[in-house]
Amino acid sequence: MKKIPYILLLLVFYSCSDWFDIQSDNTSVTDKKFFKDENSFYNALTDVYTQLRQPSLYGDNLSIGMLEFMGQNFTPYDERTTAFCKYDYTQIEQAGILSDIWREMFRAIGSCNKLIEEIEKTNVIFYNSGQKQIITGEAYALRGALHFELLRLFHPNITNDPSYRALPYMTTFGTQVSPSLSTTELLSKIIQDLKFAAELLKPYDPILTGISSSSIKPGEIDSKLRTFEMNYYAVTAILARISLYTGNYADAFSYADETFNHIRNVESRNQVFYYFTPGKYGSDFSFSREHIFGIASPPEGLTQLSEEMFNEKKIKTRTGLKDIFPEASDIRYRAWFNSSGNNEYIMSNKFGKESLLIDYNKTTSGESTSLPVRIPFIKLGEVALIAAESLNEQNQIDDAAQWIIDMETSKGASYLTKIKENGELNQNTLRKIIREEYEREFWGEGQLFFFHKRMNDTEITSYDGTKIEMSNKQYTLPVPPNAF
Amino acid sequence: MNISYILQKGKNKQYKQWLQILIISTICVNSYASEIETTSSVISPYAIVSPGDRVINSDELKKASFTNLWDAFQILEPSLKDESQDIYGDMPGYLPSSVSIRGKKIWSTKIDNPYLPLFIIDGARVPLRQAMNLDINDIDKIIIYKDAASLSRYGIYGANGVIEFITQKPQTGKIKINYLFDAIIQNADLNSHKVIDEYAQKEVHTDWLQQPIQTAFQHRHKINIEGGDEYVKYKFSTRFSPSGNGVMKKSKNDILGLNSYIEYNFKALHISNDIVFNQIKGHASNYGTYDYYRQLNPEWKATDETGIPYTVLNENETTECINPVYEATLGSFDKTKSNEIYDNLNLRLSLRKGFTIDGSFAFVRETNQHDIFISPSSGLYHNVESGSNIGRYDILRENSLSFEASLALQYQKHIKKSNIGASAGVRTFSGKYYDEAYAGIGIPTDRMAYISFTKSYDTLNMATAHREYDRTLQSILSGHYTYDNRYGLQASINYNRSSLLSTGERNAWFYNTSIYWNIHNEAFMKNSGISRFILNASIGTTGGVGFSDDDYNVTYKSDIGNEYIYNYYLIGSSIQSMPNRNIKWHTINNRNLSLLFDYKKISLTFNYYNNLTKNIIVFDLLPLSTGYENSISNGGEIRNEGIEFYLHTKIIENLKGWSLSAFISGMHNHNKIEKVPDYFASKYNSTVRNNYLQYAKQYHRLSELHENQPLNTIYKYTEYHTDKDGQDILDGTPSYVGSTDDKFRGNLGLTLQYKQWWINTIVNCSLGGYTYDWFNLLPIGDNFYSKNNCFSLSSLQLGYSFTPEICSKMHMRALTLALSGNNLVRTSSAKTAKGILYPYARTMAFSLRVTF
Repeated sequence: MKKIPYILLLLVFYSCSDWFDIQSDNTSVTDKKFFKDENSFYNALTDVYTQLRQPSLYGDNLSIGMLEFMGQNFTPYDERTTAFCKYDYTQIEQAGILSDIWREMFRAIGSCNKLIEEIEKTNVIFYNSGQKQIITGEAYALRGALHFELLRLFHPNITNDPSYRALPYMTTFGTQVSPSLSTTELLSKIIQDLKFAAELLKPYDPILTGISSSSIKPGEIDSKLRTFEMNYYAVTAILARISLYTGNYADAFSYADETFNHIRNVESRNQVFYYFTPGKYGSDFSFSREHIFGIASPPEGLTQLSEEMFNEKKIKTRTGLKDIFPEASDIRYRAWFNSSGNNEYIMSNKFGKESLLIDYNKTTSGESTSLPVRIPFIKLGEVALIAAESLNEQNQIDDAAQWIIDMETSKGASYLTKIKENGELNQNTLRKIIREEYEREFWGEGQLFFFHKRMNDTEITSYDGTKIEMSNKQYTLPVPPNAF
Repeated sequence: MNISYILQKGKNKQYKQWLQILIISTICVNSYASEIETTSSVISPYAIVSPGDRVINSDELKKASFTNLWDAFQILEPSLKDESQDIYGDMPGYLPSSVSIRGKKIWSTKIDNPYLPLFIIDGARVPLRQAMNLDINDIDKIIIYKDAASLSRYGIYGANGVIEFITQKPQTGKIKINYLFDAIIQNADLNSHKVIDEYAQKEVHTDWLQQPIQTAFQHRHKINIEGGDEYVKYKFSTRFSPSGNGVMKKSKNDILGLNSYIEYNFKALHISNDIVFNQIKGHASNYGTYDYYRQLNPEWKATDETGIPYTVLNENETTECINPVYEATLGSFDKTKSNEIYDNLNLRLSLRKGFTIDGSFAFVRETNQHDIFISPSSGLYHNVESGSNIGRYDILRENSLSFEASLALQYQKHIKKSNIGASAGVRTFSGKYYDEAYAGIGIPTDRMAYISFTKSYDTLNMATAHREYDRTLQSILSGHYTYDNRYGLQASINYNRSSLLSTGERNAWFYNTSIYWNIHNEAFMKNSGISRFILNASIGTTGGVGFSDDDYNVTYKSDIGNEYIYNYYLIGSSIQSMPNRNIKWHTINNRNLSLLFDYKKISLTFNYYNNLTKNIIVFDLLPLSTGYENSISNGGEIRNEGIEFYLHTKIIENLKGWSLSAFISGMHNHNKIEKVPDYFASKYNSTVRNNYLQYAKQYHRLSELHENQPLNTIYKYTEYHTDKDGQDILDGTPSYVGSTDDKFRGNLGLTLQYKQWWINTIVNCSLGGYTYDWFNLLPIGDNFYSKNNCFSLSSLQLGYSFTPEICSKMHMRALTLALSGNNLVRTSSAKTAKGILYPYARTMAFSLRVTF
């Protein structure tokens, strides 16, 4: 008799473990309930892109804000921007910005990790062929690419100190933090993830065939909008960027070259990225068709920030803009800047409210709505420069020059053409031209600082024309205090 | 009452014998109760009373109030504190949102979380509303579980204290019909209310403070029919109070209740079933809330010369505002309708060899419909240009549903001088709570006051809904040993598994143990005149769940309104926060020491307690590399330490027809934050500073957390600034002013009886606390708080019970008439209004109790 309750108890324990697993319904759902169909995985992935566009990341600091002041492209206008121009990371506000960048990047990485964990164990059936591989591939690619972005910020140039340890390589979502790794270890993990992503994406990514005309249902991957997402060619382009960073010129060239396969293999009307040429860009002043991967931004995002910076605060470009663009026919110069008199210039057009993305998004009636400007993550110009630089460093000077000439021609410029005509083409003049192209091509995109860092420039010209001594101290952002 | 009666009960095996000492002691505590009901009904095996608990029986309750259970409760029990009533006053249908027993045990990381004890009716958990709607005349006794030994039985539900209502059960005998009638007059106690200072000197055209006020008249009727024999007993009752008016015009809370109780006894089998159905219809005053009237300029007129109210007051001026007199003439309403169903089935089987099996099954259901209609003619729309979206209808629905089942096996045995007992029990609870709220806008006329007539949904306010579940299994093992009725030891463990607990920490264990010594049974105490002298010490744990399931699960939320590509339906779903799979419940380590002492006509109970809450919810700083700033965790500690005393004495006993008895009780509690982690404190306190003023406007004062200070502390600041979003933020280091917890709370009661007449009064006081000036929002300077020493004449009654001879001449068995007043006088040193949203009332009642 006395045993009855015990037996009952045991029965209850063993049969009711699921009974206790009920979850409340509120405005959010648990992961278990959430990952029940293919749309949910796509939504979780989309969230990563939405996170990237916040001001603490690519919405400001890592595009037009902090990094551009560190690249000396704009004249600082307040304490914060002045500090970044002087590479002073000690102020509370700067330290706070760096903590935000660290945390938010790892939050995006954490979201990728959670998504990878869920999609790899799921038994949900994906009805759209390849969608599972594409989403998984993008998540891996983002994880690798974002770690590389952090590496470029928080680690010194690889040639200076390849064993420098700061970043962890996070592969799980949770409160456990992986140990710090050296630059070399990190790079191998980054490349591994990106290569795996490329493998997953290659058979399925619609970008390989270009725009398909079939209509899209919500939840399906839209081939027209592939450059808003981490597509296959974005992965190869980023691999090219990383290979160049590590000094692996052969790989850098082959990845860069592969990226251009889209333009070579896809009919021009189906291409999703290509060079804009003078007269073709219309009101797309940021030349968005050259982005291999760009992050969408709402009107209150990049557009509004650009309006605030350049139309309200009238932030000037560095002095001597005219020296950077000696040819007035250069469409970058014509489309991006306005003179404010007195030989001063303002980049009011490139990301301003007049600048629109056209023909990306068609409504069912076939009309297209214009999108506000997006934030470039990697674009054709950089890939061409990577190809040129890696060929040049491998002494294939003529081939290298051709990559730049193609790029310049599309911009209505002929800097290298003239040098070639003058018979001055050699490895050094080409290096110089590549450097100049980095100064011309990436206004407001945060790439120039990384170029200086990669080149180990010991002295750079500041926004007001004076020289600044540069060393690891300036180039390497300090690790925020409670990173671990 | 006498002890032998209880002992006899024990032999009947109706009570658990091994608990007889404890039961005796608790009943003795309340020996000023005139008589214990001769019920033989099943007492829930869980309703075991320990010496540190308080039992209030129906006679005591009636001395405090004839009509209002919650009032009576607060008058009688000093350890209970309702912190929300100063805001809501005597609003009909008032539901408290912050009630603490022996001090507040935790802070909450969610600002609007209610803080309430667990309410139980006859062993079955009920929602708050159901407990508040109980009829005071149905109560046999109320048990407030405070003792460490009692609370540990409630496991994860015991943290905030437990209040159990035991209802009256039928008595055997011939059919008996009771008719209970109350006529109640209430008038508003506006002493503490005045208009804002700048209006004090102005000429008075309209006395706004009087505009919404009325003298309320209520009448209540109740009929009980009961009777039975040794096999079957029954009780049916109907409650009808068609005009539960309040002191603000058109506010009311009407109750219709039906109750049926049937009990069947056959040999060792005992079955009872109790069904209750209540329907409550409430209506908020269409004069709005009372705090509005103090800010209206007395020079303004509510109506024009012909008596027609102005649509708005002070039209076309910057101070233009809504005219409540005009609003009250419209069809706008705010009404609620609740239906409550309660069914409680109990079974007891007494087996041979000292074994007993108890089982119960309860089903509790509550639906609450709340509808708010704002007339299109309202002054709110006075300045709205286009007329199509005016008028609004809100639908708010709340439902709860629970099943509860328990089974317990008990065993007891006497071996010579020893008495051994053991029990094992399992209890499962499955509850579901859900609510929905949505609104429609655009109603053409008052006659179309329903949501079906609205033009569209209110697109600015999304519909909201929640569904919450509670599935809990508790199993208790306990044992007990007494030797020679002198020394006793008991211990129990309580295992809980619950859906409320986190996946990583889903099994919660609680324990208690107590020892007692009946000194009066020692040989040396014989003939000392001390009829009772018991020392009892108990320690035990209980717990509470201060988090929800999204704190331990990864949850995703659709980022609607933040589409990734502009004008293209592609939205992300983001992870809400970094969960903590291993978040734990908070545990309270209770320690209780009780002394029960009876000497001649004096009866004293003294309790000392020291309760430490551990593992209170905090936020831990996370490494940035996790991507999150913080995560929920356990880490805070709060101590409540205090004393309570209850003294009762019969000063004169039946001297020439006169009797006089008195009681006095009081308590002191010291609340102290023992531990609050630095990171959490800074995070919490900065949230307090950022939101203080915003919440102060809603009469909700936030308080910072600092170690060694009480939880409810008033802090004074030196300055504030307004940030770029227009939010006011407090600055500077706050300095300690005082606590809103009083240092002493107590009551004093006197009952004088002469033949068939009785007169009885209770006064209450609370001393040493502070209160906010609710209308002085800024916590800067010295005008926003004041001392809050309160005194009230809480109960005054005059009654006459007719002698049986007279009654029988009138063909009645009993007839009692009483005139009673509640809260006739309230005084306070506080310089603030009390009853902010709805005034307090003085209550006068005429009550008639007749039995046929």
